[in-house]
Amino acid sequence: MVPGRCYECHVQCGLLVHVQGGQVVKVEGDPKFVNQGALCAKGVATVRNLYHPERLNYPLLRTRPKGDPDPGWVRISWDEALDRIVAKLTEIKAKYGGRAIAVGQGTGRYTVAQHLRLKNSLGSPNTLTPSHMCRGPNAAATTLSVGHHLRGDYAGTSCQVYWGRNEPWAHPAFLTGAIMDSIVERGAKVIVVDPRYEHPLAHKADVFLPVRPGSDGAMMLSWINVILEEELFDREFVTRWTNGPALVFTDSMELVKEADVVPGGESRDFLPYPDSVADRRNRRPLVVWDAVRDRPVNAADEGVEPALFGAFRIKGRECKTVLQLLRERAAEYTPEKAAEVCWSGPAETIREAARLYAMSTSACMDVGSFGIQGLEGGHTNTFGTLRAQFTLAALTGNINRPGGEVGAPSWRWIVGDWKRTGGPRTMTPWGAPGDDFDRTMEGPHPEEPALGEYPLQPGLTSMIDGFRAMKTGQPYPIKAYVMVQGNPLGGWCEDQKTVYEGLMALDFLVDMDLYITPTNSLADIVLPAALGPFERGPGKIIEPLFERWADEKFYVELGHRLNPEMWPWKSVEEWEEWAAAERRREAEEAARAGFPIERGQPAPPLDFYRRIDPVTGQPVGFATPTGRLELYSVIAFQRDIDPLPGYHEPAQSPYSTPDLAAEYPLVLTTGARLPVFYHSQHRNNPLQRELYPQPEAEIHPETAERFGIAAGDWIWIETSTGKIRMLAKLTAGVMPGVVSMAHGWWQGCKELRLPGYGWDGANANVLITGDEHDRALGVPSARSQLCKVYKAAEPPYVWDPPYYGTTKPADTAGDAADPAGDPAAPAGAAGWAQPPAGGKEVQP
Amino acid sequence: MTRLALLMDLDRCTGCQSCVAACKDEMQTSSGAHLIRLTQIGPEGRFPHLTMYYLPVTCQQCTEPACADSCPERAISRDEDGVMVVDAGKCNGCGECVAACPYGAIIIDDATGLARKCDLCAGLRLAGRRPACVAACPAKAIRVIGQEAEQPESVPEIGRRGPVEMRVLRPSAGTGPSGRFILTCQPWQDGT
Repeated sequence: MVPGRCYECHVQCGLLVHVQGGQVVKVEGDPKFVNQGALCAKGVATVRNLYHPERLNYPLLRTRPKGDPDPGWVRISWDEALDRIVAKLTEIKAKYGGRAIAVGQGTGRYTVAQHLRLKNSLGSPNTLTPSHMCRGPNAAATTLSVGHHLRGDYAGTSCQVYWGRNEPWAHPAFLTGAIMDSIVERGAKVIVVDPRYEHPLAHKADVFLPVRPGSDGAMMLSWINVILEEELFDREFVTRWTNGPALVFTDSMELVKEADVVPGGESRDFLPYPDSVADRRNRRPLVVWDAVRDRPVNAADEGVEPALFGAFRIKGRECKTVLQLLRERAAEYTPEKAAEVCWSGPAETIREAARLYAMSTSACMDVGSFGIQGLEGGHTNTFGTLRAQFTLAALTGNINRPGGEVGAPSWRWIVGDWKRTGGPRTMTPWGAPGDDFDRTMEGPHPEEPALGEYPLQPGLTSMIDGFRAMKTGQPYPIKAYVMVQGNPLGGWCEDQKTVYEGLMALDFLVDMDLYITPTNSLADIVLPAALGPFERGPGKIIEPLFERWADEKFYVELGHRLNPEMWPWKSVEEWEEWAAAERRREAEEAARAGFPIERGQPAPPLDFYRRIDPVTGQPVGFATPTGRLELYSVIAFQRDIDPLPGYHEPAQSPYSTPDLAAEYPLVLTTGARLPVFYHSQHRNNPLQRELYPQPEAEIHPETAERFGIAAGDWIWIETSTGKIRMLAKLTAGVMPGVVSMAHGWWQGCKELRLPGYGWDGANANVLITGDEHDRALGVPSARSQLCKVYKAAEPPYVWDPPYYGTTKPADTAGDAADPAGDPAAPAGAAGWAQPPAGGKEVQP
Repeated sequence: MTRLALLMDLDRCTGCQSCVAACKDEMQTSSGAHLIRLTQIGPEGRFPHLTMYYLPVTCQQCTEPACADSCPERAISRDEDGVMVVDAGKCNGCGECVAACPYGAIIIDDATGLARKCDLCAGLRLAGRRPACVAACPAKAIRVIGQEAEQPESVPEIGRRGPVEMRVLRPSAGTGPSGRFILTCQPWQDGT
């Protein structure tokens, strides 16, 4: 048995692989890894993915026009493919500049560094990825509030909170064992805040608190209200380690500066982010109100006892503490008010949940969402919501406390020899000073902003704006897209029609994947990817089958041909040796500086912020502008974004758009997870597909009755943007007035005679508008948009590639016209109407 | 006397279907054929005041097995670990056992036309290893019980839950099931 890391989702559980005669025959879970020997259905089925008959095995070249039912794929050699890619990218770069080339990936499997280095070596600022509906928002909100990335210590906590988050189904094998040990063996409390009682932990929870999708921010402010009014916060921690006591001028919302209260005091603005340790040592002083001397003082002065709440006057201007402003804002959201806004039932349940969270010895919500799908990906009010969630953790002292939200910046930053590398525009927004090693791997980023950059997502090309630039050439054209490990069409971007039109309009699309997908059905060159851990990586178990390549190998070979200065490695082996040597050097230097090394990486202690800097005699603090956890975010304020946690209704909601709600009366969330699939993958694997044969939309029976829908009906789900069909699943376990579904349905499974749906038949992102986003983070409304539902005919199915669109949304309400007869159906829609020979139609 | 069966800790089960996938992978059952299946009790009640739990169901290793009693070929018997197994050489695929089993735990597999049931992964047991579902379960919700030294009723206290009641699935069927279930976080509904 050979050890390896599963590649079926990005958490990468440990596997033990059985090999017989050069064939992989079976896998089991590695008991020595975090998954403790467990495997989820995706892991069990991975061997079938390795040998699946539909796998791509050779590079393919398109010889017929895009949209033609027959792409005319011709097999070419890797040499020819790379030569063609280099020639075309060089031509486009010469004509339109490097920024006309976007580089993309989906949910990566440890190739983020190569992906970004390729982008950088093309001189392009454009990395077009699902970041805005994935971890990007949470990484941004966390790092600008805390200064480092956080992960939730679910295994070690006394109170587990699952707020719009479904870890046991998102990554079933990864932490579930530890989570259940904590609950069952050690009595950890559980709070589930979700519109679905069908959440796998709701029935085990101490408190199940339902929320209307998109109203989470109001609920969080309500918890903040309870915690402040009932004095359940950690007074010592809040006073010393957050900027809650800092004074803010209420007329301008600016922090009071030292010069406002001390003659000759510091008058310069707060630095947005420490670019070096020198900056850290030159932090602008924080002004607080000394409750004993009853006057404003530098918070670092001897013997100061800061007032936590109150309104004061300085130079005739009113100022309040950050906590006072927070309390006033939260005062609007009493539990009674939140119960009404969030459709949550009795206010007492809200109080019970907030008290349980605040009064537990430790509590964890995974506010940093380290690889866990949660709230971040789906609301036009995401930033205020994430900031409110962070604030709950900070108020209760659950940041960097065991059992809370834990992490650390780079050890270099802590000891004082850190300097920002790689330019200001990084994959991780604000590039927390824990990422300097990543920057080394990525190489220098161009200074030019990415296309459609949002204020708090620097360096990230806005998803929908990227595809619009392909389609319209505005604000400048994107002509080429190099996509590895991702499937935007059928998968991850809002307003899928625009994605389709954008990809159609490209001069050049290169796509590397395991299978033919809707995205690469529109590609000029399709490249066959090897599947880890079997066929790729330094620890590969068998030689790659056919001519499949590891993604890393493609990046290195292409990079070396394109830009040998930035890609001096002649082979992927050389790259891997270099990366391993860099990693070793980093660990050795950290070890010499006295830091523990865990799994080959420096692991600074959680209480790093209390360590005294010998130069200043002050604690090193957090890597934020004020050196404290920022209940008031200096960076947000400087970018013209609300510096305090806040709530506004989603762009579409029964309250914000009552006229729209008259036509689309239900709230749609597309954030649900199925435990046996990962995003838009795996529907063609019989072992997995058998467990969830068809796409389902969950509706409460009373809601369904209102719309004349019975269990098992095919239904249209329609929004102001588009419509798709799914089967109606009636369950008392979903909030009335809400429709819940999982995303990623496009692929068929021939072995089971279960159909596919094309990119537009059952794909949740067809429903999501490209016009409304979170103002700070660019998050679309994937988990809170309005919709209506009505009965539909059985949909047309898509059995064979290429996977073009199937349905032309009919304008008539009621039962849909048969799209097969629709003369306006897009070109290339042939091929979907018939099941394969011998197949049988699947009946609902 | 050793009489192996499975203990399902429903307080732990998260309904992720890993057991079902692992079973299919190990036993190579054809599509639609399951030797363990995940059922869900509920949700019932008025939102959000609901009851629900997941219930994985497989062979209950009965002491008075209806499957064996119904088999005209006497193809189902107890092995030395007390596990009911089908002798494929004797089975004629008549399906009497399928009709007789109160748990729907024995099936005719399309691929062979013969009866199949959970034998607690006889092959793995022979190699001293755990059944596939037990090994795969992320929640550690499935255990093998019934070793000689340990009667099913005498499972020790489990963590903070103290002595917990060992539930039996549908005892009214009268087949003396050896499988056990633990459920303390929700009301037990006999799994029917």
